[in-house]
Amino acid sequence: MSGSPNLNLHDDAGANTGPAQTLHRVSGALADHVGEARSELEQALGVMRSAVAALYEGFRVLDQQTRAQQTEVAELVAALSDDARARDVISVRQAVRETLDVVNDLGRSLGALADDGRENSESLEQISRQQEGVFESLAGIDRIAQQSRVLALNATIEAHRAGEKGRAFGAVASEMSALMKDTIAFNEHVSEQRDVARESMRVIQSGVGQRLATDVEAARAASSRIESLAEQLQRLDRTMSERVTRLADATTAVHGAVGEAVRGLQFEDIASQLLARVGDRLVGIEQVGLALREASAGDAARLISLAPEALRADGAEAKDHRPVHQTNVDAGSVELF
Amino acid sequence: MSRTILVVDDSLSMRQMVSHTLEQAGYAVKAAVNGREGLEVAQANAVDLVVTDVNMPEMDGIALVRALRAEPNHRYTPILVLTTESTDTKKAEGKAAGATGWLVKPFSPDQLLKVVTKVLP
Repeated sequence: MSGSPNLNLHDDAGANTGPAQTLHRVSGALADHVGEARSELEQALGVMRSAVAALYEGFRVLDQQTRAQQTEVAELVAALSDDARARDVISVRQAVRETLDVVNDLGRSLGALADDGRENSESLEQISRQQEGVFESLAGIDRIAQQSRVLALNATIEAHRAGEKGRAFGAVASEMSALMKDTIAFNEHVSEQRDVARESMRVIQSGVGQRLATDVEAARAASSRIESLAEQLQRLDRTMSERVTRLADATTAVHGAVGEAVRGLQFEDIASQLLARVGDRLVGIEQVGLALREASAGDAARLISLAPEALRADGAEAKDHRPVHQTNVDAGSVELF
Repeated sequence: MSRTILVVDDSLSMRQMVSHTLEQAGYAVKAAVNGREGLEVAQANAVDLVVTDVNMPEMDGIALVRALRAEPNHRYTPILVLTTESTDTKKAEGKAAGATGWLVKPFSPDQLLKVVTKVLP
């Protein structure tokens, strides 16, 4: 802070001088004070305006960014909310719900598939049992063939014994023997087919069982994994929703704070007007000083005697209209006519 | 098409703050530094609303309100006075001149936008 101008009411020798000289000195000192005060006032106004301009620019950018952030957050909130479907956009929540529905459908299909597999396996076993029954029945043909062979052999022997009379019977015995051979050949063929059929049935039953076990197990594992993923998605959705809500709250708070700051920064306009009034008063004081400087000794005595009354009058006039009544930066009133 | 608002204030920071608040809300803004310039802008442009300070050089806000009410195009244009002046005498003067509303500084952005929305036709 610079020092105050020196108000020296004495001459160089230190002796008191007359009223006119005293007034001259007083007015000179007053002019110095007022000049300094006006200069410092202008300087303070300049610094204040510059500071407010810089602060305002910062808040303007902050406000713009906050609004952009608010828009982004609103988009995120909409994407996470159930209202998203209304805008032809699927929300994360909806996606999770639909995924779980698909998983449940898949589970039901797997259950039905397992039931079908078990039923098919039972049918195969039944077919296998029926097939064995058929093969056992066919085994009876073998016994008949053996008995027929013995019968044909006996018939041939008896035909030989009968001689000429048994020739026709021998022909029948020969046909029976041929039929028996065909029957045995047929039976052997059936036995081969039975073995092949048994092996095929065994392979089919084994394959169906293994396939069923493998597929159901794989499907259950996949279903379990999808359920786990869906749960993770739900957790992620909840976390995202909570964080986006917190972000939205923070953005709203910043927006409110920027509004408060914009209101606070208006102190520059209010203070500028007040300081301009102070400047006007300093000009008035300066003019009084000039008048004093030009006053004669007689005028000086009269001025001094009139000073208290004049000052009271000036004060009353000064209070007559004050353009600024604010004492803080609280929001001002609003009145619609 | 966005509405156009004329902002008249001799303080640069006030012009900036009011203009920014209105622009962010989607309004088009024209600005003037005193009543005389504000009147010229209002005469040359379609203006839906005027927000003016009172204490300005050359032509003050009350004189601007009177001048605008004398213009056929702005006889019914809403005019909000945004000022540090808060005395009943000044408010009565503004009302008599034809102002639509009186807002005492400092304004809060939300408060200003609320009033603007209310008075815009």
